[in-house]
Amino acid sequence: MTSIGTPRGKVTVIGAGIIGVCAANYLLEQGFAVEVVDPALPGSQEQCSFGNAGGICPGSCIPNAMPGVLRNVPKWLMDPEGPLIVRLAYLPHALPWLLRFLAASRKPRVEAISAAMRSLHRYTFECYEPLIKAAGCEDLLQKRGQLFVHETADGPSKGAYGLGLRRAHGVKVDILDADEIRQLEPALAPIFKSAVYLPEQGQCPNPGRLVARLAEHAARQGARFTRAKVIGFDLAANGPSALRLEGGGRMPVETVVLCAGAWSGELARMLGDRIPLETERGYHIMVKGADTGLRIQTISADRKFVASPMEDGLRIAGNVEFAGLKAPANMNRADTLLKQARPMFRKLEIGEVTRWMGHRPGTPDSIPVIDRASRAKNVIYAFGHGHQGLIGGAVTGKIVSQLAAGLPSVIDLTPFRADRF
Amino acid sequence: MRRNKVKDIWAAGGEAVTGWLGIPSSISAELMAQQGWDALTVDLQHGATDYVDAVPMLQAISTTDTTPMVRVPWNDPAIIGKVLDAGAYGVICPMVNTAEEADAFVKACRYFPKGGRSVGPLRASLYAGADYFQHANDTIITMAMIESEQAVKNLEDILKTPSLDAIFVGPSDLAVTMGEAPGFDPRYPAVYEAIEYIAAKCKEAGVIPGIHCGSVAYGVDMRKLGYRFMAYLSDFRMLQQMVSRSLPAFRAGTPSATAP
Repeated sequence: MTSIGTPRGKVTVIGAGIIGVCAANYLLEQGFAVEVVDPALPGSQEQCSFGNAGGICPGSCIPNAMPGVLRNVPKWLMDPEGPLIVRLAYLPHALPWLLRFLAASRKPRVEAISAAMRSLHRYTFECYEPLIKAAGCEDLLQKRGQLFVHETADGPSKGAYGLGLRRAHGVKVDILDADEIRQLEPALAPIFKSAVYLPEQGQCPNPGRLVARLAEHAARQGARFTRAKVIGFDLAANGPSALRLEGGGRMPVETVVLCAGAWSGELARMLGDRIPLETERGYHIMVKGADTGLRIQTISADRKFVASPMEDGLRIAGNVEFAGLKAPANMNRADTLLKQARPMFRKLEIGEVTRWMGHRPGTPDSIPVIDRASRAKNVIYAFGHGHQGLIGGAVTGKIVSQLAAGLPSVIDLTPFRADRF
Repeated sequence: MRRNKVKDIWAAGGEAVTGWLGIPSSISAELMAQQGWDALTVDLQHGATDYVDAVPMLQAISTTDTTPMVRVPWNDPAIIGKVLDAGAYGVICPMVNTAEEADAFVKACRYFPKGGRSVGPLRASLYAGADYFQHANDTIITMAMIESEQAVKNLEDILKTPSLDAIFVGPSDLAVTMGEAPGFDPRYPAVYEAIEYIAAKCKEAGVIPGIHCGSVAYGVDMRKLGYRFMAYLSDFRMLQQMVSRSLPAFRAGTPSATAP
């Protein structure tokens, strides 16, 4: 039987996505009583954590805003099938964020951001492994590497700057030619002339199930999950004394962790912190039961989508769409992903498909906010993981538990401060 | 009030697994409670257990945070009230075939105004705490067994029963009422289709689907269908399986994973 000893106090976690369920598990380990509140069931498709491509990559250290990004801006606004699109009506809303995004693409910033990403992601396996072992789902972490394929022979040399960043951070990088691609991943059609293989990366074949299993494990250790939407706070002198819930309920709190993904920005603003957070709406299409033979998560470097072999079939994920939290999904974008991915495989039979859209919580500089709130002394922020929430989930969960317990953090949190913007 | 682990796991979107107690012993109940099940179900229907056996078994389960549950012998408010007063945190009721039967079952488990359970939580208040009456309606699990073709036909109405938390498929009886042989883990196409249908309808209705499984492989399939409450074999069956594998291995002198 597990004994958690005498609780050292209560922590209320807002958000039951990957960050929230990892934080819940690590907080329990520190001896806290834990409550988790989210309108969505953990691991369900309303969550961003459900629909990502499944990469769990310690070597992820390439920001979204890279030098030269500016010249792509006109294309984003015009090409409806491009990997990044701003819905025109939403442009005025997104503009301040986009300007910050462009500012983050300057080389000195890119290098600092890259180092911060690496520091957060480096120990992703070490932080996931004890959790998934205890939860009995070790099949949900596979270490098969990650493959970036190019349709031209000079792909890797064109991306030399990014590869240099990876190598500078000690990430193992292999450059492959067409023949080596075929040997490594015979499922791919012979249209790729060059590739970058990162052998130390990992993947999760069902991120939704990972979230659900970690939530289940936390519940089994005594965490209490409540399905409700937090819409505000009762504020006392030093921070919130209660959460206000949609429908009129109130939940008294001691310490609060805010990890509500793309919905965190508004809640942080109520606590006195203005943090630029945009939903980077992502899409995927699942081809159920597809047997392409693909083993390794493969990214089309030219067309900017990810093909992932999942438990239930093949998942093609990608797109960044700026249209806010309320606009309905444009599932044509999911179909476009499949259209682009089809020529990638030697064999791909398409039967039943499912389409999905979710909200990545994006900061302009690609890295999350992990910090105490500036005024609300009992609130810890852990949101804004953008494209890397699954990678950063377990590490962030551990850091959150250390912050709550007043212990030194495993990594330097300076780059992740809330007041950096 | 002491918490209900199975309900906590469901609230987290998780799957709860119950052990099944057919042997009328507080010692085997205590042993099972130490094994990490989320719940243990004392079986008053097909187990060799009676009410006087069940009470010390519930006490034994209480040495852990495992949720104590009881399968009552029939849809009868007399025994339902007694096992709840003895501290059961969940009741599984056999042969619920109509919405009226489901309603009668749920009302027998709930205090006014949700039902007509009489108040006298003798041991329940020792196990749960002095505030048992205030929270019992929200804490106790009501689980109706769907185990006949008739129940499947009436399923949508049964699932509308207010404050019905879960259903529990009895695969053996279900197979029999559909003209097949009894037994665990039925794969007869029509029966399997019914089991798929039950899971899908439960999901629509927001009721937790449960089922009794006889093997790991069948459990995997049920999980894929969306079942979130699983009974796995029983103390009786597990003892039987272990002995039937181990004794020949011992005689032959050939160790195996189950008989090292």
